[in-house]
Amino acid sequence: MAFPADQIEALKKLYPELAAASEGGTDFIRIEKLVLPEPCQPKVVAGLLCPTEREGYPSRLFISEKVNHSGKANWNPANGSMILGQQWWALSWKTRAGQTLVQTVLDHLGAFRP
Amino acid sequence: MNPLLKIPRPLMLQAMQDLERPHSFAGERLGFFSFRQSLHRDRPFLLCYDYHSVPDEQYIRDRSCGGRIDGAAIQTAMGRAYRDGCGQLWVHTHGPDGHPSPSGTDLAEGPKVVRSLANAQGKVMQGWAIISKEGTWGQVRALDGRLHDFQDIAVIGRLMIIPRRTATPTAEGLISRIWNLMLGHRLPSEDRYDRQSFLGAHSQRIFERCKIAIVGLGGGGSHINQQLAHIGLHNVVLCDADRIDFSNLNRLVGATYYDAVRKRFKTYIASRLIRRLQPHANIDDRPLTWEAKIDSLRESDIVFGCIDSFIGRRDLEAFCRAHMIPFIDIGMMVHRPEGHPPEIYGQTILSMPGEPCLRCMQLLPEETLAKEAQDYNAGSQPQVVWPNGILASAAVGKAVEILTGWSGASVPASRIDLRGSKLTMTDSKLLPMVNAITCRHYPLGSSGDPLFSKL
Repeated sequence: MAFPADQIEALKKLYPELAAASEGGTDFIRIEKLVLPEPCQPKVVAGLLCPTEREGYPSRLFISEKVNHSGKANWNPANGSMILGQQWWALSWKTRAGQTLVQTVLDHLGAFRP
Repeated sequence: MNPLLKIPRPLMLQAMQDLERPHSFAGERLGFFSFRQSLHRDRPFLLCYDYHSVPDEQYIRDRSCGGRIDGAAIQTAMGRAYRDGCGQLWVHTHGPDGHPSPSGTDLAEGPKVVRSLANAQGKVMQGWAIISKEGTWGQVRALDGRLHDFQDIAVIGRLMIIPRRTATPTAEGLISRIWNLMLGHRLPSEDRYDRQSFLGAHSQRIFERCKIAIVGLGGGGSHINQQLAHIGLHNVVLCDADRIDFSNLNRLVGATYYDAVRKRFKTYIASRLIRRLQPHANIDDRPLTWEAKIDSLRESDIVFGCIDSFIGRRDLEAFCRAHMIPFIDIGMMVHRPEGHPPEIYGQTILSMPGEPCLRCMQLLPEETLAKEAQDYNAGSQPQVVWPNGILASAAVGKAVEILTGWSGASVPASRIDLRGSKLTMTDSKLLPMVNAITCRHYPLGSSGDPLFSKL
């Protein structure tokens, strides 16, 4: 697992509790307390960022609960994904290519906004 | 707590070969397994992924015991535990056969070594064990510091050893015994498995004890379920949250018209079929997805995957690899090229821990996963009963082979491909290439609970 050190440091300023793990050759970053935009309920969840291409998306942000949100994107897969021994949920959202880790997370959070 | 030790067969053979080598003065050899853990309140798994021999010069002369190693050998194991964040299992053997039991020296020395290992790495379990090719006796130090005895072992590979799960007692068995005693000849029902006795003297006992999960009970899974019930499987985990509808009746074995009228759960239909053949079977038929039954699934000796989704297969295989469970996947697809007759393609794949995975065998290329994820409006895929039957039969054949070794084939092909128009199943053309590679997606050391490293 080799994430750029400067990008990890920048991400830790927003989310101090980060951990890395891999499954099936794919690397993930777990974000312990990910704060979702208003009016998501619940507002604080765990996040799992896959910063590389997965299922045709340039990156994916999975969250630990299927929250109520006011964005327009669908959950995909609709019945969630089992990753690293846990059920996760992700909105169908394509981030722009070439972004830093912080930009990628913020881009994904945009999917939860109206 | 009833821990289970899981060892891939090649690693087991490597360890037994090493431990049975003579030493110039020591009567017993000692070694270490590195293992990952899968924690569970009742049934933690110790998942061995590497074996380490102790060099000859690290043995010391001691007439009070069969073999003793010096501090340097134990410090090396402590270093591995600390560096790799893994468990170490200190092992020796009392011989290749039977179920071992500990000597007084074992019971005195084992916990001392385990204490040293836990001093080096206390965040995971540490242990010691006596092993044979078919049994074990050991102790593991849980994270709360308590020692727990264990005698359950599973050897994972192309001849499985399944854990000492108690066979389901059957009324039929009791009646047979009484009948034998009173009349001195066998009940007609005792001939039930005579025609499959070529599978091995112990094959029926293996089938009664082993636990099989079927994920997806549609066209493929229902065939597998039926065959396993006929063979004599008693412990089955059925995973499917769907109810049957009329469009399933063209291929769902065991289903009736009235099941579709009543919209019964597919797990109910599968369970009913088993019970009509095995009235005392132990079946988990709660109508839930596999993700909702992971406690049952992790206990399975083999998992059959019969699901349409490629993303679902990827996730299910990852789960099986994490728990060192052989995974047998079947799938079929009908291609309808314009201007040409349709063709049925399918495959049966055995994904064995430590060997090439579905991605290595090119079932799950990223483009396929992407296409599936982006295709919201994918309708029902064409399906028909007989190719599902062929694929399911091949899958059951693979399972019986790795459970009994009846054919003596040491390496049954990992991937067999179906060509529907020709009704042929052939070893995949990919195999020469696939067999030459080491799976980089699921190294054995990545088994067990997820290893998160703090950033």
